[in-house]
Amino acid sequence: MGKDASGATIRQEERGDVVILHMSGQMREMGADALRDELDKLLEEGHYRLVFDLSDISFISSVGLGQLMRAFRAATGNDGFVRIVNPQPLVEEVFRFTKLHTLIRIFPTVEDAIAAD
Amino acid sequence: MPQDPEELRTAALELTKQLRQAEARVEALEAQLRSGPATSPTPSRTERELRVLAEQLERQAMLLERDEQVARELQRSLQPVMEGGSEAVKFAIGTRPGTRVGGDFYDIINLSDNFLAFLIADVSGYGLPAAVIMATGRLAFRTYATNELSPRIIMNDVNKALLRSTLAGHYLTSFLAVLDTELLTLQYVNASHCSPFLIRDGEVTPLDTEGLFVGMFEDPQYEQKGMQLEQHDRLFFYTDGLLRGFEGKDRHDSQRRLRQYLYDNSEMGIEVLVNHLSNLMAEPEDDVAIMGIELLLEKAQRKQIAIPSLPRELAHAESAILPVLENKGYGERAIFAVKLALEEAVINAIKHGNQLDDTKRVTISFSVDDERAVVSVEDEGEGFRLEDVPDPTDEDYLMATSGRGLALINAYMDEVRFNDRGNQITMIKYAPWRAARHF
Repeated sequence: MGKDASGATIRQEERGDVVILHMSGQMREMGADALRDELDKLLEEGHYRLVFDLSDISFISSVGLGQLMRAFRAATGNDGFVRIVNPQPLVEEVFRFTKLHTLIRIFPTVEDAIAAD
Repeated sequence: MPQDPEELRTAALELTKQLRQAEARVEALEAQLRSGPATSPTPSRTERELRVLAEQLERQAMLLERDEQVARELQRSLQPVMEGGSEAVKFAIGTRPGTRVGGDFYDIINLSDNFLAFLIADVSGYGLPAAVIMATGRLAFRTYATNELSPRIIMNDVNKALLRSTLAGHYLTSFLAVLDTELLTLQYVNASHCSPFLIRDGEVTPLDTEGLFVGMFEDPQYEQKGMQLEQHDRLFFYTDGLLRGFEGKDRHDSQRRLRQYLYDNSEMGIEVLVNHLSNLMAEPEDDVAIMGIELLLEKAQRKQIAIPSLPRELAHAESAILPVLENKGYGERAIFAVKLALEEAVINAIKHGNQLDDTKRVTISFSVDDERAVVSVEDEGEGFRLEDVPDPTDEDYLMATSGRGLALINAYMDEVRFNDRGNQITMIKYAPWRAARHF
C-alpha cells in the first residue's frame, strides 16, 4: 500500500508475456503523472498484454479512465489487450456509466483474465 | 380548492364534463340565434308570432349570459386564494375581469421544501372554451410539477397533455419559473408569454427564452435559462391585457412603456405596485392578471473555498467537503458520488475554465444539510456551451482518452445546473434517506 493516499501505487508481476499490474489506492488526478510515466515505460518496452488488478482501487475518476484508455489504445493497436480484474462495486459502476466495460473486459480473477481468448 | 392531486383531478374531470355540456349548449344556442332571424320571418307573420319569437330570443340571450357567468365563475373558482406569501417570498396578485371572459391564470406551487414554482398563463380565445382550457392547463401544470423541478421538462409535459386534449385549435402562452429558495437560483421557461420583468436596484430586465406556445406543436423547442437572484429582488408577471393600459404603437411599444413605468416606480413595494397597476385597469376589455413576487430570504449561508488553478489544490476542496458529508451520515455511495463530481468539476474549471493559469482562482461553495448536499464550482473563464460537449458514451467518442467529466457528474449527481455564462456549475446530491422522495 503506497503512502500517497491521493494516487495509486503499482506492483508489477510478469506471467509469460502478460504483465499484471496490481494497483492500489486511487486512480485520479492526483498522482496521475506517476501512473502515466509507469504505463508509458511498459508500452515503450513493448508490453502490450496488460491486466489491471483493481481489487485495491477504492476510487477512479475520468483521469484514471483516460489512463486506461490510453493503454487500451496502444495495446490493441499492437495486437495486445487491456483487461481488468475484480474492481470494487463502486469502481465497476464508473465503467458501466461510461460504457467502457463494452471495450475493456472485466474478469473476476487474474487467472480468468490471462486465460481468456 | 382541493389541494390533494387526486381530489383535484377528480374535481377537474367533473368540471370539464359539465363545461363540455355547457359549451355544446352555447354552440347550439349561438347557431339558433344566427339562423333564427333568417329562417323564421314570413310575410304572413302575426304580431303574436313575432312576440313569441322575441321572447324566445330573449330567453336564449339570458341563457348565453348565464353561460358567460358560468365561465366567469369557473375562472374565479380556479384562481388560487393566496395572500401574503411565505417565509421565502412575499407576493401580490391583481386581477381585473375583462368584459369578455378570457383564460388568464396564475399559480404559485410548492414543489418541495426548497422549491417554489411561479406560473402565469393566458389561454387563446374567450368564454367557456377558454375557461375549459384554463382548467385543463392549470391542472396539468399542478400535476406535472409534482415530481419535477425543471421548468423545461414541466412545460414539455404540459404541452403534450394539452396536445392530447380535445379542444383543438386552442393554446396558451405561459411563463414558468422555479425558484430554489435556498440558493436563490431561478430557472425559467417562457412559452411565448409576454416577458415578465426582474426589478433589481432600480433596473428592470425582461426575462425571455425561446419556445413556442403550449398545446399546438409536437416539439415547441423550449429553452430554459437560469439566473442568480438576490434578496429583495422583485419579479413582475402579467398577462397581455395589462399592455392595453400602456397603449403604444404596437405590442412591443406597449411593453416598452410598461417597462418604463416599472422603472419609474421601482421604489414602490411589490404590493403597492401591483395595486396601482390593477387600479389603472379599471374596466379592461380583456382579462388582466398581475403577479408580483419579492424575495425575502437571503441566500443561505454557504461555506466557500477559493483555490489557485493547480490540480493538487483539489485536495483542499475535498478535505473541506467530504468530512461534512461523513459526519452527516451520507454514506459510502453518496460520498463516492460527490467526490467524483467534485474532482471532475474542479479539474474542468482549472484546465478548461482557467486554462491552468494559476493566477486565476476556482471558487467552490457548498452546503450540506439533512436534505441534500449542494456544491458549486466557479472559474474565471469565459464559460462553455453545454451543446458543444459531445456525449462520451457515443460510439464516436467511446475510445477517447478524455471528455468524460461532465457525463460522470450528470450520472452521479441528482441535479446539475449551469449559470448563463457557463463558468459555474451547481451540483446537488440528495441525502440517501431523501433520495427516494424526489422520484
